[in-house]
Amino acid sequence: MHVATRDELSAALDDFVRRFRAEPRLKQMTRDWNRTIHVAADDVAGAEFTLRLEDGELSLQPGPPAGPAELAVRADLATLAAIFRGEMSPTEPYMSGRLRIAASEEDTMRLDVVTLMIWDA
Amino acid sequence: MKKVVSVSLGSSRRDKTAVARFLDVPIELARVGCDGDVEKARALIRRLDGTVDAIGLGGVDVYLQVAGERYVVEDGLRLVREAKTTPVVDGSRVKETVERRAVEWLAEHGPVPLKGAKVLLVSSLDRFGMAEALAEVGADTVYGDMMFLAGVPYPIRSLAELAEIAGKMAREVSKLPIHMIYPVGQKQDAEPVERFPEFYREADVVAGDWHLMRRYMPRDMRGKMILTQTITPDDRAFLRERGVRWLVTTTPVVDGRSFATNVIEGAFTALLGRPPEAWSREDVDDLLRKMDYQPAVQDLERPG
Repeated sequence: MHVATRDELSAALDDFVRRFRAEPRLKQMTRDWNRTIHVAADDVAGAEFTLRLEDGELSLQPGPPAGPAELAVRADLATLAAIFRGEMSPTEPYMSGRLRIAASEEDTMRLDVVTLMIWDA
Repeated sequence: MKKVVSVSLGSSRRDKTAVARFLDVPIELARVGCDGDVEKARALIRRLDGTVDAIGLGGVDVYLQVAGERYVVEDGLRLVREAKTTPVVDGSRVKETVERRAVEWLAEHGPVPLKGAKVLLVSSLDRFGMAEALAEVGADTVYGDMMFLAGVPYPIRSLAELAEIAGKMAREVSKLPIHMIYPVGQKQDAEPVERFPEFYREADVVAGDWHLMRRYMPRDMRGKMILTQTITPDDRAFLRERGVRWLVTTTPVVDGRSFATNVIEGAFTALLGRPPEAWSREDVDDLLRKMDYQPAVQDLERPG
């Protein structure tokens, strides 16, 4: 069985940010949505990252956010890497409880839509 | 007498029973709201199974038909499976035909010329046929799926982009609990909270799902036309207060009430004696032709 590593999640998030920047519609879709998103793997210590959306621009930092995050996304590392690589839709692991999102329902929905716009599958 | 009961996840304040004549056959139509309680809806469907001619499902779809692809809504399918003998219908078959016909009729006979009119269609996932028909008659349509279903400030302005985005959304939305995307239960009675009011303001016509458009409707809707269904006398008063001029309902008005397409699909099921899966498109066309179908147009500036 393949064991995902922190570097794989880091690479998947890098790719996610790159694809976000390459889709011009996402800038418009998120222009009013300034949010900090804390992405953390349950099963690998230190596999934590911070995505920051500001005026339609998305950036990535390693480690937890300096302040409170509006969205906290947690799952095992393999699931997170698969979602941010676009190999898995977030909806199914979210509904099964494997992916946990601590956020308002509205923010959860918007994150889902952003992910949909990045990936074709 | 034939009997159709619509089990809705919507508010019980909208419950109604009436007898309508379809091609001279009297059919009792009842709508029972479960106030967003899915378990109550499941229990009610089990209790009705085998005792009525058809069961309608309201407040949730079973199928979303987007650009030739069909998506199964899991919450809806679970409800359908509660019945073992009575057909359970969501209205999607009738909606596809009736809403196209309504738009085509309005383009020729309606009080507001649709060609070139600014139309806000609040969501198309559940009525892609109406979206296509509006494009075909030359309406200048904003499709509000991203704005009103997901809160994303992105108006969709072409049918091609709608097909792309709605297809992606349908795949995911169909797996989510219905309450995340659609106002059910008491949310249907709540005071509207304005969302993207500039798109309502710009529109000559606001079309689509009644509960969704009502939920975000601004106070000033003077002179506009509404194209929808499932309208009660209270809803008419609500629209009058906002200054709406024309109300067009795609389903027939029975005893002051425009029932949802799931109720009409239930009535057709009772008339034909077989479920929608066993209908042909000609069956629906034939029934509508025999009924001399046309949408109901009401001038809300007239009293009554």
